[in-house]
Amino acid sequence: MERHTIVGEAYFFSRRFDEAAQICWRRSIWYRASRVLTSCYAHLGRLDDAREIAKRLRAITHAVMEPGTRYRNPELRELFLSGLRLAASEAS
Amino acid sequence: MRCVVLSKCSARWKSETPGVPPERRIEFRMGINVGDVIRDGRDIYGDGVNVVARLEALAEPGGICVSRVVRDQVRDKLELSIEDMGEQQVKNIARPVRVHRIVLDESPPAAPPQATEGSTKSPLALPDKPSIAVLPFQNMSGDPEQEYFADGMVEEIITALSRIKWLFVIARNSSFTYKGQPVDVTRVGRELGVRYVLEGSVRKGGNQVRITAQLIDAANGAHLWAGWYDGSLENVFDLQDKVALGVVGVIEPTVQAAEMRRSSDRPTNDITAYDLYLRAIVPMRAGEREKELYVRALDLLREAIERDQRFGPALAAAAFCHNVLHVTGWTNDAGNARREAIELSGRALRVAGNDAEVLGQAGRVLGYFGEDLVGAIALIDRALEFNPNFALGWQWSGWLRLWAGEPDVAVSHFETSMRLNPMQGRADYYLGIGMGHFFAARFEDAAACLLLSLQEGRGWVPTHRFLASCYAHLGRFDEAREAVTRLRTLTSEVVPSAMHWRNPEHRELYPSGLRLAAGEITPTRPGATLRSLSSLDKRI
Repeated sequence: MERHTIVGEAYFFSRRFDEAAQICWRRSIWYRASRVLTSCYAHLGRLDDAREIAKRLRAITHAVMEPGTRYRNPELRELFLSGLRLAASEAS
Repeated sequence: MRCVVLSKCSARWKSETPGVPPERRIEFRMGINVGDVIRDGRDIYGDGVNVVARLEALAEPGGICVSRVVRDQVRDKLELSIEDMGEQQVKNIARPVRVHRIVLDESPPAAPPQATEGSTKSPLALPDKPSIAVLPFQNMSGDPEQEYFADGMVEEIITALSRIKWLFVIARNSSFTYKGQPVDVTRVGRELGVRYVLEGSVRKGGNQVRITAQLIDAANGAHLWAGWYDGSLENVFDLQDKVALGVVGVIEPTVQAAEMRRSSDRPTNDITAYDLYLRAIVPMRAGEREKELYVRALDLLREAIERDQRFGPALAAAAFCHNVLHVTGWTNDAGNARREAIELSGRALRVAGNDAEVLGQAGRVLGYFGEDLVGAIALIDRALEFNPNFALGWQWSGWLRLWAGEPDVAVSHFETSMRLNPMQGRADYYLGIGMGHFFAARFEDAAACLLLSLQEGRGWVPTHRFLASCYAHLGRFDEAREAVTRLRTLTSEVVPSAMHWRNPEHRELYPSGLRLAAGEITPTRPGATLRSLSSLDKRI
């Protein structure tokens, strides 16, 4: 069975960032996977990689950041957004 | 020809880096376009160059994306597999760009999600057909108690629009996340991935209803159309259809009224019954998972049915309530819940067998309880044929495919539902996809998804059960026991009936893990569970 982005998200929120990065990297053509990957790299301290993915996102959309409102749990949402914020501010 | 050379090169570059972890490989992406360029010394610029830069950015690592004009030039001339990625909204280019991906080998590193009819592949890219989100209408009745009525009207307008097959309509649970917020329409368009946004208001006073609506182009905020419709409550269905027709008439002036006509006659002539129905289903649709909500909804629906025995949507919704109460163990009489659900579904199908929602709900219920899963899947397929924008229908189809032993199809249908409903809470989707991985014996992936479902949701009973079973099969018995302890706070039924899992191996896999977790059985020797499962994995 294909490991969809959602499995990457699941590992991300379990703070298993390496496994999440592997799955999302393979699906990084999609916005959703790219954003999770960006946040993932930021939390792994791989800011160069996070910046690179954020840059790629900027090439295809103005909205690197997103509200993350589909994540209902505030702690999870903050985990996701804090990584994105870090990468987005580094990339700007 | 050049494309072929490039694709071969790309494939070779990928294969020449063995032993290097995928995330550390240097893999080039390419974009190819045909168009005019402006030369300026050694530099080139112009629209053609901008497009190609965006195509390159959209390509997967090691992959190639081409524009529509390139696809048209090479298709049927070169033996290339080219996949349509739909229209993509890209930076600094006003119009959406049609993108195609060259499939370089049989197992591409970043295969897109399995496509299904009615789905799009990029979660936030514009779909390849006109797309719309209907925001919650303002309740202008001066009575907060009438909020359900305004919400109900919007739901009915969404349903009316959804019947139009060439229109992509965002599900209510996503558009309703903007309820009570000041709305920036361009932001809504971007977040939901739609071109058009409809907003408006509902005023209900006595027997009279007024609905106002305005259609806005989310790309630039321009107002495209506004209209208002007055009528009596008896004519409320006509008012809903008129609003929907006004909207689609702007998007596609040649649309025929017949295209969006209700597939069955008006659902009821009894306005009080309809009002009871709205009061029942509006909170249910909000996705809350509370016993009291379903018990209350069932009471309201019973009243509605008493008033109109042939009220199809109410019959189907009541069956669905029984289904939920059965699944959760929230009923003291599971046998009665089953009988009622099957009987109500049958009645609903007899009186409203052409209504997509009735078909979908009945398919979901009968698939869960009944013997004929193939028949139930056919009902849902028919519902999705009538209404390809039926996000809940795609989700239910996912459940039925899981029960039928088709986890891959199930996951792709969950993905389609998510695209139609991008702002919906993900707990159910994580559960469904986690179950898909569970039955494919990928317990680590399954456990991660199920855990996330719990973190995002509110302790849905089946999620605890599957997580407990999952941990047990992984040999993580402490965590399995903890999951059972949490489960017991929600229901006394730890090991439920597994009758709706039609694949005999699946039917055994799920409860056997639960029995292990609950300590009802013990593994005969350490690791025995996992060893026996590895043979199952191979068979799957």
